[in-house]
Amino acid sequence: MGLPLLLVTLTVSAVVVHVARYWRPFAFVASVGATIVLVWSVQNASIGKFDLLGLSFTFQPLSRDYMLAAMALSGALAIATSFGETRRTLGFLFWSWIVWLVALLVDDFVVGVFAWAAGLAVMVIAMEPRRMRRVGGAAYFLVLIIIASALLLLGHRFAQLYPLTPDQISLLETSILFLAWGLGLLLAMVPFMLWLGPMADETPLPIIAVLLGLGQPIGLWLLYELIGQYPRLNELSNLTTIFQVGGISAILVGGALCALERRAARLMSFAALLALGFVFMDLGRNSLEGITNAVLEMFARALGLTLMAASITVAREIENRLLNYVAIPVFILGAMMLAGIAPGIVLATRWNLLLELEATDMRLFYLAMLATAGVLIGAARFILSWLDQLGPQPDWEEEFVPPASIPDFQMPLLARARSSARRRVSDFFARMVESLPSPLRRVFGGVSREWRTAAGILLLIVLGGFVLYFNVTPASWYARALETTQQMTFLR
Amino acid sequence: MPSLDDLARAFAAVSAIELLAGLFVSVLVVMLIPDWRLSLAALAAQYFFVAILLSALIPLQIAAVRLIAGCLVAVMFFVTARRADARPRRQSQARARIQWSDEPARGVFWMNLPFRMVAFVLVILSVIALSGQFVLLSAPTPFWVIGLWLALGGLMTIALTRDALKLGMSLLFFTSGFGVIYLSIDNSLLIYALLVISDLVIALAVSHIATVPTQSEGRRRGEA
Repeated sequence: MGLPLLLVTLTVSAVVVHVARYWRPFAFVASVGATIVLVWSVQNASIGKFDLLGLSFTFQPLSRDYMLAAMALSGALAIATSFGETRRTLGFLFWSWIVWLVALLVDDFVVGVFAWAAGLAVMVIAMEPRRMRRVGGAAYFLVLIIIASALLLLGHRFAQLYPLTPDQISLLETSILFLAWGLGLLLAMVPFMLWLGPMADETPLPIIAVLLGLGQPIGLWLLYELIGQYPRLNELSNLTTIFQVGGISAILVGGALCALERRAARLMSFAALLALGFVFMDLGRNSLEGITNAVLEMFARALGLTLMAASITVAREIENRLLNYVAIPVFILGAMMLAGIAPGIVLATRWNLLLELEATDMRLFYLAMLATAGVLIGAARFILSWLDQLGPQPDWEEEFVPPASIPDFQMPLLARARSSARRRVSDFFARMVESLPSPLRRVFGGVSREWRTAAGILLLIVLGGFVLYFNVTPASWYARALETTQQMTFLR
Repeated sequence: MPSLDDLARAFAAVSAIELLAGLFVSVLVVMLIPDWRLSLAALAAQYFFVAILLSALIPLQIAAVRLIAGCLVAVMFFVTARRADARPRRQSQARARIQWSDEPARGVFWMNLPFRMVAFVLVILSVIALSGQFVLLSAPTPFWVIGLWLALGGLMTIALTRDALKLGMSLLFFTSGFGVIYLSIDNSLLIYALLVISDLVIALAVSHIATVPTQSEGRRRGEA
């Protein structure tokens, strides 16, 4: 499949999911269908070069693997969202990927930054301000996107001009200053992480998972693409030191904030900050092994956030005791992925780094361990409050009792058309079921009542099962990450 | 129908002093005056003056694209402000009937007028100090000064306001200032086109933030 066709597929999938959100079964089917189609499309996308308007677009192996993971995780979050009463944000789990795909493919830093920022701005539209017309986390996040993009463009311009004065590195240093400032703002490096909490307050959980778990790493991809064009950025600057200092401060601050937090959205954001700190530390090692570990850490971070967001979303939307008992272990698994203690490859990469810290500075090692404990404390407090709220609930969903219907003539035209279409579809299925033999009719009746619970449990089991598989097959994942990382331009 | 020649004549009729004064007053209005209508007029005027300024760097017909984008942004904000204005009016009428709430309407700014005037003076002093001491990659002085003025004025207004629409206008002042500075050091049409597109995306996002229904009362997003 060519790259333009992949972009078209992505756009069509986003449109279909966005439109299908009005009726829950359609939203569910569209989300499942879009996930399968997109994963298949990315898997079969060509890696050949494609030129348009003087720009080159290439699918590098690492970016293809990243897109594969992104489509699968975004799809899982879309399925989880489709069970809810309000499904306004469903399409936004895919919209941003249209421009983020451009950011991953294009060989131009400027276009990449604009595409990344546009994707983040689209995410702002999925947010829900807490006060009408008042600025809050969503508005400030928009401001940050613009300011950070401006700083990245200035940094790029300085890097572009450096070859004119190769004997002086002041242009290079200024470039790194602006790049670190811009990326630091959007990646929430300490002390620029103050926007994380207010933003989380106004953002649905699946959107947070996509934004932090999958959207943020694109900035690092753009930075390394730029380093591929101007290797001196890495060779003659203190970029690795910036990564290490930023990493350790993110670990400490993220862990401390997690320990104090009980709200799911903030807990996820701060736990993601801690995990990002370890990614920075790995990148700061400036070696192939470090970058490979960072890639695995980023994947584990996205996976952990997806597990947490999906489990809470499904459990909140479907009131069912059994489902809650499945969701809680999945949430714990997600928190363990972010804390880096899920046994397997995540623990191995994290421990590798911690051992290095222990060898260089014992105090930092203990502080990092304490910060990890902070995530676990925060997660434990959240689970306790979750269990407190598990009061008397039906074992299975109660039979749906339709609300008193509003007379058609009181509805707006569009709502009337939608209601009529929905009624016709329901009548059609009801007639079909009536024509079936009695045992089959009972099965269909049960499925129609409990399909949300069954599908929710299935989704959580699949996600949890995948994480266990990911952790118990470390060799294949590490080999894959190593193979794709080696092919990055600046390493070649 | 007006042609490009007419536009060129209109641009030429504005002297450098008028251009500087126009941009000075635009920032002053958006930073000090809470009324959205005046702020919107200042935003539109800013787009006009920046288009004149940019016509010194890029061809006139391309500079005019920014003017068109400015008109679209102004229309978007006008519709948004009218819609957002209509809701509180309806709500206040409902409140007047029910008499449940006596909550006073909150202002557009966090701070009162004297404080904002001090902030305005601070922006002026910052621009004078920065433009006197630094030059970014040999950017021509007028572009550097005007770019700084718009960017810093926009940033200060963002810090002062609590109204989403005003924040959006300030953000567009910032992007205009950044655009002037960046285009004076890198005369790239790609950057220019992307900046124009980003202005429209910003306006779209701000319009959404200003009009979207708020979260359900009493249950904060992310709470268990």
